[in-house]
Amino acid sequence: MASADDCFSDLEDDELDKLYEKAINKNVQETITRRSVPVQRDLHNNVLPGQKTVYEEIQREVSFGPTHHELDCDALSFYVYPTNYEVREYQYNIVYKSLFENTLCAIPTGMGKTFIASTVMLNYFRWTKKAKIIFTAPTRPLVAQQIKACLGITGIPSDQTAILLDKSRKNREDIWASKRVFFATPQVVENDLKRGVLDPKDIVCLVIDEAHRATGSYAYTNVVNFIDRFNSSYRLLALTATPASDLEGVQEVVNNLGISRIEIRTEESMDIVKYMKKRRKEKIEVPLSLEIEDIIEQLGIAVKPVLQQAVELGIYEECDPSQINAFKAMQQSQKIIANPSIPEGIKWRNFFILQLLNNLGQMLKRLKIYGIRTFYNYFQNKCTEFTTKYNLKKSTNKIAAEFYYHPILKNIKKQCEHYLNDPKFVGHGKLQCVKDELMDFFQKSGSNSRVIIFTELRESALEIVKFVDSIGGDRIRPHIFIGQARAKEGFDEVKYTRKHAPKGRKKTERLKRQEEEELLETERRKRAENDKFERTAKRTGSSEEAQISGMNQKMQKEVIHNFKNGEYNVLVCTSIGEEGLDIGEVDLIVCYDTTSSPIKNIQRMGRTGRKRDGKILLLFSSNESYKFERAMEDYSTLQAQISKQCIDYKKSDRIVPENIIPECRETLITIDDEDEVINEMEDVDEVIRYATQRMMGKKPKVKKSTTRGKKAKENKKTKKFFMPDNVETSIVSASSLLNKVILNENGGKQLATDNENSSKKRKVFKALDNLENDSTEEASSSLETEDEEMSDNNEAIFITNGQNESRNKMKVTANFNGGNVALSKQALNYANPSMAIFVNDCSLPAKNDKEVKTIQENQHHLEKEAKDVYENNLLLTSSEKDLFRKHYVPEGTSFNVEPSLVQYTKNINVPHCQKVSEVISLFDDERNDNKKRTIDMNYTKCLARSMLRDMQKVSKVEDKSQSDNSFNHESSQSLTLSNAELDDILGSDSDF
Amino acid sequence: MNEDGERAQLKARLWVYVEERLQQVLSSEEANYTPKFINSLLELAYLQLGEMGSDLQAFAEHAGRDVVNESDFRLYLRRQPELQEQLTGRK
Repeated sequence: MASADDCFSDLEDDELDKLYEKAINKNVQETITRRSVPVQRDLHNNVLPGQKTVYEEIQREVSFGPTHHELDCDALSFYVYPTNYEVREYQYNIVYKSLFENTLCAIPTGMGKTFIASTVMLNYFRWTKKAKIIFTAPTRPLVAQQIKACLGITGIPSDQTAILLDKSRKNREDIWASKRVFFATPQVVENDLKRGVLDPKDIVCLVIDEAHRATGSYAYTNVVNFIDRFNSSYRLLALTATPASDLEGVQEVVNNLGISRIEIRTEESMDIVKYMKKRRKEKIEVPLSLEIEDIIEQLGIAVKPVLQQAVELGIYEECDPSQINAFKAMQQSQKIIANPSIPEGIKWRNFFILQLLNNLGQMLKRLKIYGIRTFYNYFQNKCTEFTTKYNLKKSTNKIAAEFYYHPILKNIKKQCEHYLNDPKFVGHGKLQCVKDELMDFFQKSGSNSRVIIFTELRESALEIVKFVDSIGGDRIRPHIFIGQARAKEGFDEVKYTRKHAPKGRKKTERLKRQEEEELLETERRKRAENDKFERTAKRTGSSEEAQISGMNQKMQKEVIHNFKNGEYNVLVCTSIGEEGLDIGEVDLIVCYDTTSSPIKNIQRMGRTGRKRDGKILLLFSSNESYKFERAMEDYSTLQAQISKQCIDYKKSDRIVPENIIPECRETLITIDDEDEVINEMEDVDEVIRYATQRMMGKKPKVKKSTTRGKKAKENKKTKKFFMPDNVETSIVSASSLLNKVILNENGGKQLATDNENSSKKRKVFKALDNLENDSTEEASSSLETEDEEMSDNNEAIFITNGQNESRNKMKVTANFNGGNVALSKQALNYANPSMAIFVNDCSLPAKNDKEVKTIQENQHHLEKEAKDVYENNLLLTSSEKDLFRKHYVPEGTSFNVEPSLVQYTKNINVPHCQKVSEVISLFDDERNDNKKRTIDMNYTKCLARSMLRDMQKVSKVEDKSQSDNSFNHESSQSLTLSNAELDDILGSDSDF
Repeated sequence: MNEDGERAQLKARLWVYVEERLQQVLSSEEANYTPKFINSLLELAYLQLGEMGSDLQAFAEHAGRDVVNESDFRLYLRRQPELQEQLTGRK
């Protein structure tokens, strides 16, 4: 049996949970199964502190009540499925399912996620009268796309919609209040929820695009968490092309968003394949050129001694020098650094060896995958960095020196320079492939088509741009497209030497040095300007410029714009171009390298084949094809796992009442001409501008118009706090939260004075309360009524014991409200007389008839009393009964069980002080019928009896029969027996 | 008598008082109580009194006296104004 106090601590937690779960119409039923677990005990067979003795299994069953949203009953009988486009089976299915369950919809890019979202939004718009529908997407282009779909397909009236893209927009309060459909970024929604501008209870439908981002503490997660706290009755639709790269990731997204179903389709799915635009995938295995092989071999010769040393030391696996892997070396070196058991000297030697191997691995990777030019830049940089440092004696790394001063490296350098001086030299076979492909492609499809080339490295991107530019003449116009970070500056030999050169101490020397520095600075500036000038003269100049200084958002926008209108037709992207950018329709994708992330690969490929057929060219060299295949295989096994129900889902509200099953009504929705315009729009900003104007209720001009007429705000709105249901919101004084039962020790006569005292005190409190909160009249008045009630009680009902009683009350109510099986069992135990020691009167406050019945069964002698209670009850009016139930405490005292106190304080395991621990041990003994305690008790009792007898002999006032009567009533047979024996013993005056 | 014996005597006396008191208080209620109840009440009282005794002793010592007197007791009751009132009233 769990002790009373434990239960209270449990209850607190439960209450917290409940507060959290107290979402409008959601009921969570918990069944807790407790099982004992073997625990460690000390020599006295006591359980060692700080251990759990029970193992709890919690089963949660979630059920939902009717929704709080106002539903439109006529509209509920069917749902609209727009037939403006061809009806696709998979979309049809997904729409139907996501209308009634929170769905994560993962279908390949370009397969109409937006359409699904629009349809679901449309139907919730129809079904509800006032509730709000929110679409969120992380980027502007995605929002624009959805707006287009919503206005262009579903015909949701545009005066009911609003766009909230940035936080700077004014009078958002009014917008949230007056509109019903919103297109926003998750950050805006999160912010407005937190500010209290948007009432979470109004939301009936939330659509989340690019849902794979809902991890960690991204705005999506926060928004959903926030809404969950107030509102359980809303539909969530999450859209993505790639849920996550592994099962744990998917589970995280599912948990964060409260998903109850995943609809996953792959490009191979039966129902999807027929709608797929053809995406021709071509994989080309590019062999390494002779020059590259040659350089690899030479590098291998140079590094061999170092590698051999590493193998002998056991820090790197034996392998061919050409197979050295940078990543593996780095992992090893981290492992070595983290290992504290290795002596410092050896540790650092090993570290330097691995560092060198790491650098070499990088070189090999660049050489194999990106070509000689990229390799040579890196190689040259590393070489000069080391040799300069070594010459200046800043580095004494002999092992690295052995490599960098290897005679064969000079040979490599010479060779590379020789190659690179030839402008027609092709740095890697892949470049040749790209060239052939582009020539071929533009020959066939004309210069109107667009091409994107993906690569991971900026240097390589620039090389591609330069190379592509050199072949194509006017037909091929490439540009680089990269992020905004500046390029890493290479190692500057001159600067380093100067910095570490011996410094003169004399003034003249210092002056001289300063002069020299200035000279160098101006020279460098001049050179930079020169370079810049030269670059502008070249066609690829802006790409080169960008490669050095990075591209800011403005530049990126400009490049995209130019790419769309055809000024450039080949875009060379790093990973920034993979997702979220509205690049438009692309016909050919070239993946210059591969990544091991399936998401990245899929996003790359998803750039094409949206509206017309596209082609993907994958270029592999060295182990890339293996890497690619493995990544894609991982992804497809993931998809299989998801469809095999490996995910733990959460149940979601159906919202539509169970008895209504809406039928599908396929309708062709007519869009009015004004909204039709939007279907022809392409540009993101244009769409957003147009839609915003439509929503402001103006007749928009398609062309730019900068009317910014906004009503001046009348008055500032006060901030609102949205609260969960069933929350008391007014200010409550602490005194009213106190236990309302007065503890009484001295019996009837003193009760009256006590009452007077207490009520006096109360009045003082009340005065204080009034002072404190003038405004909260209600609170104080309610307090008064309570006061009256209290005094009534005190007159009418004899309150004997407060605390125990109220505890029991709480127990009973808690257990019936919570429906907790384990608890109710416990309550039965409570009622069981065998557990009770003070078995005078056990009728619990008759809160629940059932409870009273069980007690009746258990205790025969109480039956009469209980009946009396019943009869009394029958004579009362219902309101009186209520009052009675609330405040009735049965005559006499009922002690069921001694309080069981916790052995250690709750927060820290500090033992109680001596007195408290003795009290605890006292009650423990009583509960467990400790033998020693019983013997002690009987002994004392006998002593007392004899003492009493003595006193009676002297005074002869007390009537003996009375005391006998009180003792022999309930005590067990054995007890009285032993009493008699002891009496005898004591009577004979023997020492016990 | 040894210490244990004294303690037993004390407890027995307490028992008598506790029982007497219970009878007074509950006489109108026809209530019954087990010996165990008396015992736990008495044990509690014993603990409380023991603590009170050591407290009083400590107070007296702090004041530089050997004998516990009324002022110590008043200090002990510093948080129960009603009881203190009674004390002064009796005086």
